[in-house]
Amino acid sequence: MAATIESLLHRPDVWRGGEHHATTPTLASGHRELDAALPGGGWPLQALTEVCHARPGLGELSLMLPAFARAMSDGRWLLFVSAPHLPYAPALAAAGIDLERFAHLRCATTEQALWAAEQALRSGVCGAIALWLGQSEPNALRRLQLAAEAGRSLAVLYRSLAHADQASPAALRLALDGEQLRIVKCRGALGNLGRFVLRRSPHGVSVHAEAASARVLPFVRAR
Amino acid sequence: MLWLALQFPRLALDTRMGAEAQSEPLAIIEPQGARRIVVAANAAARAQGVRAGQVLGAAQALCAGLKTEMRRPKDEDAAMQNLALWALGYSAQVARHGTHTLLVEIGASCRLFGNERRLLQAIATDLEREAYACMAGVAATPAAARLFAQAGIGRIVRDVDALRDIIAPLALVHGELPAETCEALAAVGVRSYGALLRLPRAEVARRFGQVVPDHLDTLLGRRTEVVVPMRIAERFRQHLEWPYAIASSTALLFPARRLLVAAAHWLIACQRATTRLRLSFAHEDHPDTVVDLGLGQASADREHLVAVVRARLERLALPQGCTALTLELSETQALDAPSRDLFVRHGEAPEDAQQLLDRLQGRLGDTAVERFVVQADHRPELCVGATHGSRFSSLSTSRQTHRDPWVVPTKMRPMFLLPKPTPIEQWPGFDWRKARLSLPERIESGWWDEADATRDYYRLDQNDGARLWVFQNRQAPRDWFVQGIYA
Repeated sequence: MAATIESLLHRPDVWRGGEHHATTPTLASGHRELDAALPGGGWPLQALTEVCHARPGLGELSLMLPAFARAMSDGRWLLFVSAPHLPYAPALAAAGIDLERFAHLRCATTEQALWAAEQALRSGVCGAIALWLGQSEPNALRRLQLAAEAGRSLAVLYRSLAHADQASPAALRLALDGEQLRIVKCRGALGNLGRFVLRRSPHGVSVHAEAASARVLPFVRAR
Repeated sequence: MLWLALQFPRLALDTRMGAEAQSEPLAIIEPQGARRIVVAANAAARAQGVRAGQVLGAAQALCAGLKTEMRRPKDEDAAMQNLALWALGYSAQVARHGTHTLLVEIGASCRLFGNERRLLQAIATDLEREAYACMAGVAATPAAARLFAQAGIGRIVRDVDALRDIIAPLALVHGELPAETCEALAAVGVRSYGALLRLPRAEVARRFGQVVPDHLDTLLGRRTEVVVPMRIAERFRQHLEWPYAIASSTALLFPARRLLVAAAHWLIACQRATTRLRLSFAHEDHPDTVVDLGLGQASADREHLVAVVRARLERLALPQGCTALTLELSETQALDAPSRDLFVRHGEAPEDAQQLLDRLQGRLGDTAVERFVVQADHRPELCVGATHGSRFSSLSTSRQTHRDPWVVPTKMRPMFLLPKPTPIEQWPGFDWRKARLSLPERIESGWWDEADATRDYYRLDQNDGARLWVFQNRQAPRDWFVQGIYA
């Protein structure tokens, strides 16, 4: 009997709740507990990842750096588009970013930044792209998401936390406030992915699942 | 030396767009004395028997509705000049011969393409795209190459000694002997080169003139033919005018492209690559609009140049319609090595990072692209070398520095730096009561130059989760500044 159930479970038309079905290729985030929760085991490639953070300095960039370094490992480039401040090369180098394949684009307007990011995503020469945007129209984000689908890059969009509640075509949306990391939206995931805590370490940040967010409800034995 | 002769017998027709393919018969004519002679006829006319060399009356008798146009030697000359420039893309030694023939020395270029066949294939593909009817011959001497082209010999004859046997069966009329000499030779039964070569040389010279043995010597390489190579201009500067004003910058891409293609041919011909080009747009009553374009890496690739110019044109605002365009390569440098993408046709290879950065820089401006190196300086704001523009040169010289063990700080550094430190009181939402400091790191450097720094650096954690990199100026301990953000 047990064997029958086992064989039933392997039928392709049997779908089990709780399984994650990755529709796009992914790239390991470098944070074990986060990878375990994300469908496909990492940040989605060929899709837009949006990080909405309450203020600068929360570790929003450090969170992504392990994946950025990994995305460059096949000889491709890392591109920052209209970062709010000067990217500090020694810190990037320490995180494993090859500075010879890193560039920052200063853009005067949001339109320019969007255009540049779109071009870079479509070109396929960038393993990862980080883009900082202020106000922008949903249409622009949709174009960005489409461009991300065209290339095989890790595309990260940084915005302020105020945007977290607005609709966005991004495949994965994170909200970062203080130490709290919340997954607002995740394409391909079932149910709530829970909350995470960002801890500072001498070499960046580490991500841990919040203890209270254990998804298994305690089983209370009836007396 | 291996010479390729390209003859363009239908040039008079091919310089007119669409004339060859149009359905009504068309002949290009030229007056010769009192008669008018057909120089070239299009496909529809040829189908009815019209041939080059016919008297117009005979042609009209064969083909009732024959349309005629006068030959335009000026157009043909311009077309030949462009073809010569195009051929310079394949060889440094290109010469024009007569009105319809190009001589291209391909022996040296074969190596670049692998072998002769591949080179000839590339040339044939180009000509087909431009829709030029062409006859080609390849031989060790220029005269033999022309003879092969005329006689339709497709062999590649590298060996001068083998030429004699190959030209033997060819008719004398294909060669370049004067027509009356050919007739005189035919009168004594000599119609082929083989028959002519069997005759004693001195007697032939006495009876038919010195021109005959001279011709044979040039053919067989016993006498060097002087080939005057086309002179390549020292600088590339070409001008293009059109009869109406173009206002749309996208429409301007067409003339720009034509100039850029010619520029790319010129660059390849003189083994140079350009790093800066200048486009001047002429207006009817307004000073010229001049656009200076810098390239991150020297390039001789026409598709790359076109892509960069296209990106620039997209954000170009012209004060009024433009009637002429001048392209000048203001900076060129020697091509170091056969560039990887030099002969790659567009569409075959994906864009590389350098091309992408050039394109972005073309649109966003010269200072938009920032590249970084780590320099040997303890002062945080000076240990980063930012280079504007996508240039590699300045980067590669200091490439070694960031491999030095001490330069990459093992201590945690912030991801973002404020090049100009901000007084801490001005930092939004800052409150000393809600902040924790790490242990200090003392940086004392720069006493040898103006930017003296004696500072204690701290990581500062705020209650709201933000981490900043702050320093206390030790010469004025009340002054605290924010210099970095641990993003």
